[in-house]
Amino acid sequence: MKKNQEQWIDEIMGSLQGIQPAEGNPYLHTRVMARLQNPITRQPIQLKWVYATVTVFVFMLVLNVLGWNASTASDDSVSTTGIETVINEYDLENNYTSLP
Amino acid sequence: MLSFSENEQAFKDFITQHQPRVYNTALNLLQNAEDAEEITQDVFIEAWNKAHTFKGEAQVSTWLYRITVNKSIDHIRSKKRKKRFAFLTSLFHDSGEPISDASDFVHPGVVTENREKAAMLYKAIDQLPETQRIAFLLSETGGLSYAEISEITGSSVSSIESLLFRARKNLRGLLAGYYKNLPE
Repeated sequence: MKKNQEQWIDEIMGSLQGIQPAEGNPYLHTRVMARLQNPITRQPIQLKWVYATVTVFVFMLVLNVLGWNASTASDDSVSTTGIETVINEYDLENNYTSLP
Repeated sequence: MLSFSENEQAFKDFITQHQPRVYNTALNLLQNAEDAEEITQDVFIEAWNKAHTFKGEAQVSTWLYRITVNKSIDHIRSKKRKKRFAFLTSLFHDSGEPISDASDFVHPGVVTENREKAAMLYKAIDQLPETQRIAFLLSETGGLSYAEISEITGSSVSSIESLLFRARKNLRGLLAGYYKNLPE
């Protein structure tokens, strides 16, 4: 059977009572001294990777600009020719009406 | 002023004296023994390198607590970032490795009969906002006073009181949710 909710919560909240400190590494001092004597040096980023990233970025940018220009130009021509085709096909320039 | 230069024995004594406090604080915040060990080393390396900056305005233990808390927070944040990145990469490439590590930590110093309950409490603590989690753990597991926590975190005593009040209230709310899912 389930305990009363408040009682259960109180028990959980009090579960850290009497907590004892955990034992750390007994060789910590040796480890720290070793790291102080041989510090981990971070590898500097190689210049060739910087150049490669910049080149790819610029290339993608140029490609995007060219693509965008081409698409806007072709959109215009398509829309104009499309309208012209419709006008010619239905002979709309003569202003015919269906009523006499 | 603190100085260990040319006195390795003094530094060794310093480590022996403060290691339990630093390690246990890191262990409670990080909930992982290996990470806590790494952060403990980092804390003492920083203490060695920056001993000259300690002017004695606060206690050495407070200074060390502050370094420990800051390094632990940085570590948690970096781990979260890596986890997010791992999730993103897993969308494109499944390495077969688990994305998250299950949070079933129990501090080794918890009394045996309380281990199951403590695991549930740690699970709830893990869901608290960062500031509440730090204040609660420093108070409950580190046994620090409001004034000490305020010195370590740089917040006022009244805001620590408020943080702890909200932390306890939120924990009770989270635990009430767990209670509902308990088997009859």
